[in-house]
Amino acid sequence: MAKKEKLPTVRQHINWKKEATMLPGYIIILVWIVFTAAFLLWILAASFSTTPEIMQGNVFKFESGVHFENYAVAWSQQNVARYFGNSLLYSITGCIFTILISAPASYVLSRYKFICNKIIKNSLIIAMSVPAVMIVLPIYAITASWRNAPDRLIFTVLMIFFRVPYTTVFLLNFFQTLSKSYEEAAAIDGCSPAGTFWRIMFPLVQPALVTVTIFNFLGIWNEFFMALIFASSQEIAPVGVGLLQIVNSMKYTGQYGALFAAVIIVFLPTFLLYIFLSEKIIAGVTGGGVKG
Amino acid sequence: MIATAVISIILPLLALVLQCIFAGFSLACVPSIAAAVFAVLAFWRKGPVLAVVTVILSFLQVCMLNIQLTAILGLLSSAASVFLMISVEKYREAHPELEDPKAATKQMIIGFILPCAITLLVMYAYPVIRTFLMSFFDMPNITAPVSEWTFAGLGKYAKIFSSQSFIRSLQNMLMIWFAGGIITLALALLFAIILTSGIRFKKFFRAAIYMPNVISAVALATMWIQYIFNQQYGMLNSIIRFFNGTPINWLATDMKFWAMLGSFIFGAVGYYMLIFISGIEKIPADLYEAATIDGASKAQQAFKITFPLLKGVTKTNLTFWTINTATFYLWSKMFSPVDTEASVIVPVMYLYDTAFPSKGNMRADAGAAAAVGIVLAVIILAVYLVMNKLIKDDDIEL
Amino acid sequence: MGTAGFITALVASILSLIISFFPVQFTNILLTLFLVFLCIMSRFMSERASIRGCLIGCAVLTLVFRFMYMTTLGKILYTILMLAVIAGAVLMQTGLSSRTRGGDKA
Repeated sequence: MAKKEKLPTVRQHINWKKEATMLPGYIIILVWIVFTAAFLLWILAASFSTTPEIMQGNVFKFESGVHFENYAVAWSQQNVARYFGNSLLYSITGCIFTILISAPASYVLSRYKFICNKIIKNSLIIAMSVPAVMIVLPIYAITASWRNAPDRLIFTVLMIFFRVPYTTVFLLNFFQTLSKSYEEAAAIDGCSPAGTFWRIMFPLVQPALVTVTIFNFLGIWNEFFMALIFASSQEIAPVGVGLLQIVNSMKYTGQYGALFAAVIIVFLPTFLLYIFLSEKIIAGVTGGGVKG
Repeated sequence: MIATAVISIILPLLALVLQCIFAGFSLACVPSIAAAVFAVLAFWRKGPVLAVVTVILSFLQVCMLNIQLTAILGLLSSAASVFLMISVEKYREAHPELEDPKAATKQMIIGFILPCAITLLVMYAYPVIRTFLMSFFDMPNITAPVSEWTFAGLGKYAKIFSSQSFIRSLQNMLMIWFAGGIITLALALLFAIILTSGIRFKKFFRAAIYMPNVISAVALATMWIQYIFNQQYGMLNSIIRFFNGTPINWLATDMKFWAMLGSFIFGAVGYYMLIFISGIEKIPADLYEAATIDGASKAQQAFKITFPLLKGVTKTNLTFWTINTATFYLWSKMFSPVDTEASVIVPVMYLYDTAFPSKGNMRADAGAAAAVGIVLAVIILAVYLVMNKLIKDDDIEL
Repeated sequence: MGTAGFITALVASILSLIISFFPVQFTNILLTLFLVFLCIMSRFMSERASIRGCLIGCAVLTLVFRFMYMTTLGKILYTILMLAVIAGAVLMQTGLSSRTRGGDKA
């Protein structure tokens, strides 16, 4: 309702009758969103409060001031810095290498005919919907026989492999829409086929690469099941598993302010990404990825 | 050239044999096999690129073989393969007629597709097949080599289906699928219809409702558990207190499942809403215009036009929902972080506990865990096939 | 350019060979020995780009695979030296292709 009163200042010509018929719709949506907002704001406020304040339920009053030290405690004492660094490492290397594997494959799959083309395309689509539970046991066996390798490397490689089918399938459509004349022109100028790809075609699909990289980043940042199996030790855990460990140790530490600070730290990177790129993300969800 | 080729084929094989004799077969042996194979290929096809790959693979042997003798052999084979590479290149230069005009394209296709194909084989094909086989065998631990497996027939399936917790987990999953599915898809459809009905701030609302999907689900679950459902200061109990009700312990055994389902639905709705929205936006606008001229109300339009034409999208959503519930794990783990509780157990959780038992007295049973995986995959496949049979795609589909 | 690249790569690989004797790390000795060998080869057969390609590939592999067995100091030293080897190989290649427009293989 509050929203309705503000409307005239935004736009003058409002069909009040039409708006009135949509009132139930507005109310339903607003209830949902107010709930989400209240919930997030409370967590944010709690991350600046002391544990007794949280327990009494008055986090919005800040009676003892704003406690930034919660963040310091979470960041250093509760190891969030390490988890955060790990996740950043996995996400960034994962995104880069996934693109380096997927983009060339997607390019040749969509533009050249060769023997296994159809088979590989179909297997990629099947692989996209193979649940992680079907593959973790043998992969665990493989990696266990290779205990010398640093665990971070193993988990990064797994994350890369895990994102490849989705990324390749996502990019197929985009390469298909490019005109054949680019390659012909490049061939006339004496550019090798591989050079044509890296110098001309790769930059041309940049928007799609950005979208799929955002999804890969979110996917790796939020990965939990695989991380719990392959990267659960404190040294190498990403933020998801790290947060679980913090929650489990809450019984002993009892620092609720720091817990909520840790939640905010974990939540912030993807949230910020979403604030700036929500249009692109939403277009990506409904556009490329869902077919399959 | 023949001499260099023979040496660079034999040396890695020798290293392989010695490694196997002294240290047993392991992942360290793979580069040796690959190096020998590529040396053969490089010699046979006279391919300079193949020869370069041979050098790199031979070098990889030195990195990985862990006995001094075999490592030295690896070094020697690396050196030999460098000479092989040079002689192959010289041969190429001496025989320009071998150059295929399409060779560059061919090489590019192979080079570009190979990493992706290897990913598929290593990460998907091999594990899926091995999981399938594992479900019929008894093995001392997950990492046991195939030679230590003993055939168990359908015993593992019998075992999991006679397990109380697995049956309970299937019941929970069914409940999530059915109750959760109805609520989620109904809410998603409702929001989608509201948002496409010409509402203001559509983009903002859409983004806000989808938001829980992009943030870490662990953070989201922590927020729900530590705040919304908290008994002392939680949001729900504060509201109940405001209306002078008696606070409820939301995380008690009998409420826990519904608390979990509620918070899961909150996060999931946005995604299905987006898919419904894209389905609705594909319905031609003139259908609605014609209906409005004929005097159909909004509700009538929804039932007569929108729902029937959303069949295809609904199918997509149902398939995703099925996959989502079959692989449901995170929220269960967050709601019973230390010990698995029967009230929120799901099959993946059962699988995890069977394969990686956290308590000392339980023995890991990889075969049973694999059987759980297979059962889940069969469920997903069955639902997918049934869905395809029941709901025929219409002309307008996503 | 070519000579500078050669000297950089050679010095870096010899240095890494030397530091793998303190303490004696058998595999490192072998690996760096091969890098030295490749450096010399790429000088002798300067028209072959593929040798420098191999040199770069092997330096990267050395870095990745030996990284886990080293102390922090070793990791830092190795990273610097291997990067120097790679840079040297690239310099050799660019020096050569600017002079003779030699084949350019990836």
